[in-house]
Formats: sequence, structure tokens, C-alpha cells
Amino acid sequence: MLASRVFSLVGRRSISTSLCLRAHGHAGVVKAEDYTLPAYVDRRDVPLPEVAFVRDLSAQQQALKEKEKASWSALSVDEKVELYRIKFNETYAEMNKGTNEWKTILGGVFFFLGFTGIILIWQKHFMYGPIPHTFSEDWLSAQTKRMLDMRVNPVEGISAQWDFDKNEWKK
Amino acid sequence: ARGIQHTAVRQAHRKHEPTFHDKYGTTVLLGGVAMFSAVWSYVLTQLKIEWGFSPIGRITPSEWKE
Repeated sequence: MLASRVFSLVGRRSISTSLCLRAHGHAGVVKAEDYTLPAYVDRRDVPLPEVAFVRDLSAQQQALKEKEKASWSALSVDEKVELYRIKFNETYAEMNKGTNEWKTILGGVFFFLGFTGIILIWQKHFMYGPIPHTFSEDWLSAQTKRMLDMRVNPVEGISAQWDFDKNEWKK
Repeated sequence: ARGIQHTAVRQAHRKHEPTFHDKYGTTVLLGGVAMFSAVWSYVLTQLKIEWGFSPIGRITPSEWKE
């Protein structure tokens, strides 16, 4: 009783709403959005997608679909291919085909690594000062001899690489 | 909507237009490698950057005591 009285209050508005929907021709149901419907997909592990690829057939394609209902030996090769293309987008061969994308990617990688080198050139030219005098050839040779005389790192380091009998680096 | 678009494109769909990678991929790759080797060969040899290489096998020791 109480529920029907509530309905009479609310009912007018809900009835007029559903009438508006009916005017759009959908019997009180909201039109389903495309993304809510089963979708076609080209995937190796989905051999038979949920829907055919072509959803809205042209007149020509509809005629072909009618012909498909009869004996299939009456279909020409081109018609069979057309039926295939209605149902599927890419063949497995087309799906699996590789691309040349790696060339662009690798070329881009090398280009930007080269750009890093250009940054180094800029830095050396505009930013770094002169290197310390302790890196000159004379200084380095004197420094090396002093290290060897002191037997610096004799186990596995620099003195281990020098042959003290022959006075040369070990081969 | 998608079905109509694909119906219209049906005939062209077979040909699969060459992509950017098909047209320019090799050029981009070779150009990138060339630019890289040019820049870095310059940086490593001509630029006089102190890389701090080991003296082992490179430096001939000379007398330091005065």
C-alpha cells in the first residue's frame, strides 16, 4: 500500500523519463557504447575473435553473405578471400610479420649517444681549464719510477707488473 | 562506425603502405652510427681530454731523484 503511494509520487516522473527514452527508439534501455560490446582483436593466441572484423556490410558484401549460405564450391577464390577479409583483419602471416622499427630505434640511440659526445666537446672547449702539470709526460715517467722504487702495490698492482731484473713492463 | 570506415578502406587495406621505418630506417641507422663514430673518435683521440689511463705498459719510467 505504502509502496504504491510512493510510486504514484515518483511514478509520474519515471514514466515520462521512459517515454523520452522510447522516443529515441530503445525501449527504456540506454544504447550500448562501442567499448562495452565484444571487440575484434588481431592476436596470435585468439584464432577466432568474438566478432567479425567488418560490422556493417555493404550491399555487395551482404549479397556475398547470402551466396555463402549456398554451396561453397560455387564461390570463386576471390569471393572466398573477400569472405575471409570480412571476418578477419590480418592473416597470421601479416600479424607475425616483423617490422624495420629496430633500425629507427638503434639509429636514434646512436644519434643521441653521439650528441653526448658533442656535449663533451663543448665542455672541453668552453668549460674545463688546463689540465694539471702533473699529467705531463715527464712528470708521469718520474712519478712512475718513484712508485716502482717504493714498491707500491707489489702483490697485484703496479710493482707486480714491472720486471725489476729486465727493467721493463712484464709481458 | 569502425565497420563503415573499414568497409571504405577495404580495397586499400591489402597493400599495407610502407611505414616510416621501411622508408627511412636504414638511413637513420647508418646516419646515427656514422655520426656516433665521427664524434667519439674525435673525442677520444683529438680533444686532449685526460682519461687517466694506467701507466702500466704505457709510461717509461725516468729518473726522479735530483
